[in-house]
Amino acid sequence: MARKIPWIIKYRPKRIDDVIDQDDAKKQLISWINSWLKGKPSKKAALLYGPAGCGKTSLVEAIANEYKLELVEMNASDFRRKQDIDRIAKVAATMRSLFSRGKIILLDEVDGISGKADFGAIEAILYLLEVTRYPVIMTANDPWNQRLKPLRDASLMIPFKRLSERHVVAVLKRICQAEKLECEDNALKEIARRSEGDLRSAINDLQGIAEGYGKVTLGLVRSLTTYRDREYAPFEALHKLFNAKYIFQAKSAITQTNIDYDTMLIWINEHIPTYYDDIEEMYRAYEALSRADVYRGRIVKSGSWDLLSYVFDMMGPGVAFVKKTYKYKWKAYRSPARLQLLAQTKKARETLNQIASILAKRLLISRATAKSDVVPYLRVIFRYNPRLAAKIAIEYGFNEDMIKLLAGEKSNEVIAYYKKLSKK
Amino acid sequence: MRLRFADARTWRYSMAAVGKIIDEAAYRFNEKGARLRAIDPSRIVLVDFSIPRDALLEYEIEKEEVVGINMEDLTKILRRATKGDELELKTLEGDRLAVSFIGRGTRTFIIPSLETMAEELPELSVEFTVKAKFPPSVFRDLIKELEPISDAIEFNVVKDEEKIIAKAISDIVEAEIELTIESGALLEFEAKEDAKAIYTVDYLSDIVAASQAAEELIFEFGTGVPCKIEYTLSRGGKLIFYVAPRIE
Repeated sequence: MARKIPWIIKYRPKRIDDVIDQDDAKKQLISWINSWLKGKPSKKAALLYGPAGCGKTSLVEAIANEYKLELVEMNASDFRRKQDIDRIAKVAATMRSLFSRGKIILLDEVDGISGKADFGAIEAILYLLEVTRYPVIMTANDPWNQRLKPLRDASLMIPFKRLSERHVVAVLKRICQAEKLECEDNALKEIARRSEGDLRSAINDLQGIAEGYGKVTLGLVRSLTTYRDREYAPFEALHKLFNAKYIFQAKSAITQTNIDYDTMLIWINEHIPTYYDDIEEMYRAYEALSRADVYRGRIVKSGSWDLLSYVFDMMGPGVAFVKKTYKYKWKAYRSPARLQLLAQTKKARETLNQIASILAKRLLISRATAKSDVVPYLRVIFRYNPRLAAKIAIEYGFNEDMIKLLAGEKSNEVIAYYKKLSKK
Repeated sequence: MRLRFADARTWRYSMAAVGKIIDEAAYRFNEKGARLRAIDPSRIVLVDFSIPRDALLEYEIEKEEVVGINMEDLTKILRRATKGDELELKTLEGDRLAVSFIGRGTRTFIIPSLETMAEELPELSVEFTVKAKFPPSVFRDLIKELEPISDAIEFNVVKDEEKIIAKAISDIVEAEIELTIESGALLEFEAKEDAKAIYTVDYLSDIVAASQAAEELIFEFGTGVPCKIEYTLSRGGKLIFYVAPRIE
């Protein structure tokens, strides 16, 4: 068999020390594995997360190799459905190994599970965590999706960093030496730079050039490798957006995030003042962003999706190129307060909507009117006249959550009357 | 490589069972004969199918060849094998495999071979304490009878009583099957000590799909170790499954 083995497989790390960088992650993962081997782990699963090609899967493979554990691996393509997870991972988790060794169960790329198409998959993984007798390790590029929350709660979260150029170059050099290849140093640097910390794609690029030409020079790298479309976390995308030097960079920053552009708009809205210090620049940036929002509104109203590219133009380059002079700035971009507030008030808003729909039906008004015209009076009544409030609550059939929302700090009194009156 | 085997149905039934457990596998053809070793995705079942050179009617081989096969494609074709068919396998140019049935006329099917990384699987070294020989149909009926009850089967052996008790227990129903030589369920029985082990029924039920391929079945197990189910195929061929036990 003279088939060529991809170098990413050939030079896969065999030992933990071969995995480049990620010292914190290594320490955490190893001590967790040790706690499993001793018997009592704090959490049954670990969730490794970080950008593509930074060594998540490689580290698991290296640990399995070094600790002589059997690795049962499921890729995103294998564990779409509940049956598959039950059939492969659950069985592996509750059976002894054929070769009488320990095992690690690896669920690669759990963020690839989609909510609708793979209905039940998350529940199946949770059940797996409940019954497993062996450590379960999951990997994800983006673990922050709402759907993955149960998995986050059940796992030890271990972050992986994007690899620096220096580390990528070091690995590429090692491979060049092993392959006895003639490699220019600045060619390797260029590959590393273009890979943006993705070691896997860097190695693939290296192999592509080396096998085609027998040597790796800067000229070949420049003409043959391309920048890949990548996905960035929102804060990385904002950094790229605000510091863009060219229009295309600002535009691609919008479309290469792992959040949708509606959410991105909220992020930009929040962080225009974070980045811009000059009041006029801020004004112009908001002007551009509001124009993007106007286009968004027109899309919704008329269904003309061809306007979408203008939304991107306004959100990206529009916001980024209002600056009077270019200056590279590093700022910390936190998750927008608005999104956090929305998450916190989610339950209260739902309850309010329920109240509004009860009122709307009884009073023959719209829910919006009920919220704006009736609810404020109810709030007053509920806070100042608990007895009457309890009667209203019974009449309209409000439940305890609704009473709590309307009565605020007086809710205990209202509920007491409510219970007394409803007994009669 | 070209080989000819006397009874295509042996391959049909063997591969029917293997195909249920494994999606892709690599056949290795060399001067000793044909062999397929593979492990299922959950790494619970190891399959070892071997046909020695002597068992083949004709065998032409120049150098060792490894042919990766999608089991679903292969089992679909092998299902066409009927009584009296001989089987011919031949590797073709461009990584393809021709499967021919020679009986009433010659029917040839050509499938692509896959680029599989043939995983080097270590040999298993297990000390079995119990060895029993079954007519394959008895073993198949045993599994099929216990399958509806529970997802696992417990095998118990008390050495001096010379019998195997197979049990399936669910929340509501319990089933028990007693097997002895006197009752004709076992052909041979040998136990070094008492043993008890639990195996998942899903895989056993897949494995017994091969029972029509063989004249005899040897079942070996021990406490807390994998079990070995070996089908004796005609002329020295073997189809062996190892199944890992459940943790208690």
